[in-house]
Amino acid sequence: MPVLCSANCGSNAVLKRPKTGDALCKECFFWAFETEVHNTIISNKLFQRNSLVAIAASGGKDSTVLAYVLKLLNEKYDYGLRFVLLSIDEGITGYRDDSLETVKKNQEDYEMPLKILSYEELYGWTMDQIVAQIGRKNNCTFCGVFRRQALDRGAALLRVDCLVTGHNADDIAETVLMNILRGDIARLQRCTAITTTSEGTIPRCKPLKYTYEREIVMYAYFKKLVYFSTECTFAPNAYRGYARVFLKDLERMRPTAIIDILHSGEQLSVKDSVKMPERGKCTRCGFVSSQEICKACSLLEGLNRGLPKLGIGKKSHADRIRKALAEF
Amino acid sequence: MASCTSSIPSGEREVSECSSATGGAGKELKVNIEFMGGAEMMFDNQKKLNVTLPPAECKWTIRSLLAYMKVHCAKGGGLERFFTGDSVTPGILCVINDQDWELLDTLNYELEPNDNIIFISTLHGG
Ligand SMILES: [Zn+2]
Ligand SMILES: [Zn+2]
Repeated sequence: MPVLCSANCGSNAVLKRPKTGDALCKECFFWAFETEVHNTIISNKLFQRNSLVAIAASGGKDSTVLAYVLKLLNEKYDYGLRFVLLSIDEGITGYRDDSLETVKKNQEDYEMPLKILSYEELYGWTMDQIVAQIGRKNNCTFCGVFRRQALDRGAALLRVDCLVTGHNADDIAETVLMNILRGDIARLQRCTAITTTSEGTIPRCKPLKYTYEREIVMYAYFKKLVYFSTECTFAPNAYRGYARVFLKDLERMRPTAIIDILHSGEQLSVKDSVKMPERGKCTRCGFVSSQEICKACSLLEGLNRGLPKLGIGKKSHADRIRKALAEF
Repeated sequence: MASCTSSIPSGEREVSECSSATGGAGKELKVNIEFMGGAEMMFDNQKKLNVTLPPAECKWTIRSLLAYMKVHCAKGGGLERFFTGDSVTPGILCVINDQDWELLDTLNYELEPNDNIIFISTLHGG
């Protein structure tokens, strides 16, 4: 029995929206999806006319849909933006080398120039080499820290005005949960921000912040967008994995759970008595850091000295190792 | 393209839960299954399956199809990440003939010959 589109357009519905429960046809869904992203962009003043915007592109569903929708909206609403795709090659054989092929396809399809920046050229180490050195225990820490900084460096290199990432509502809700579980109040405050700016770096924003992962996948499916889906060949982050499963279980019981958690995260405010870390600059690389030596430089120092644990543990622990080495 | 045509062992007949036999019963039923978005990795990287379901006492549903797949089509590791209880793991979407299964009573949807059933994972990254 066909279900009619809730928008009364006369067509048959193809999906049920998790956010609203509406049954929509293909065209009305595309319209709703794109209009919501447009409204997010406008109401948060994400872009300024004539800007050059870098899209962090992994070849995955989120960045593929982001590039597609931004191109479409830029033409439809005349934002006056230019785009460039920025990809990071972590140097993981069989994982990133395949997905980079998808990014190259995006480059042709969306007529956007592409810049690929590798860990090897930035840090002198590929993830394959790092894993060979440190094993598979803390590799996600290295990869995460390096990727974050690699995107900042790439954006600076390309002289863009802002960097957009494909983070969706599920990703942010998951991060809210993670930060609560870890008791990381400073990150909990920052993680829901749609735009993050800090001195010395290029602003980052998340146009898909309020978009459900489920709808991103449905959009890509009905638009027949080609994307790459895989799992990192190294051990996945188990803790995040649990948070993810928990979130999806909640979503099945109550589809609005994702946006509810996101809103809770936005509403949380920290009392003045809670000490927030100060944000300064890394004395080595000059990037934003709350420590004297940033996490990336700290990890790198550990790798280069053959002491990979240097950057992983507590700062006090790293200081002790450094002091001992200096005395030695 | 792989297919699973062997009949369901009677011991695992979760299909026979329903009481009265309805139309379509007593005949083989062919459906096309496709995996996307990384769901294929949980099925030994098979992207498509042509499944011939054996005659059953009552209509095949997505629920009984999943029970059948668990026994006959499951290959490789990571299957516990595809099946949860009598359904798919939350985060795996199902599209039946280009329609979201949420519009089709999900697990209770009654299969028709040559239905195209697609499972899309949202759990895999890029
Ligand atoms: Zn419609
Ligand atoms: Zn640094």
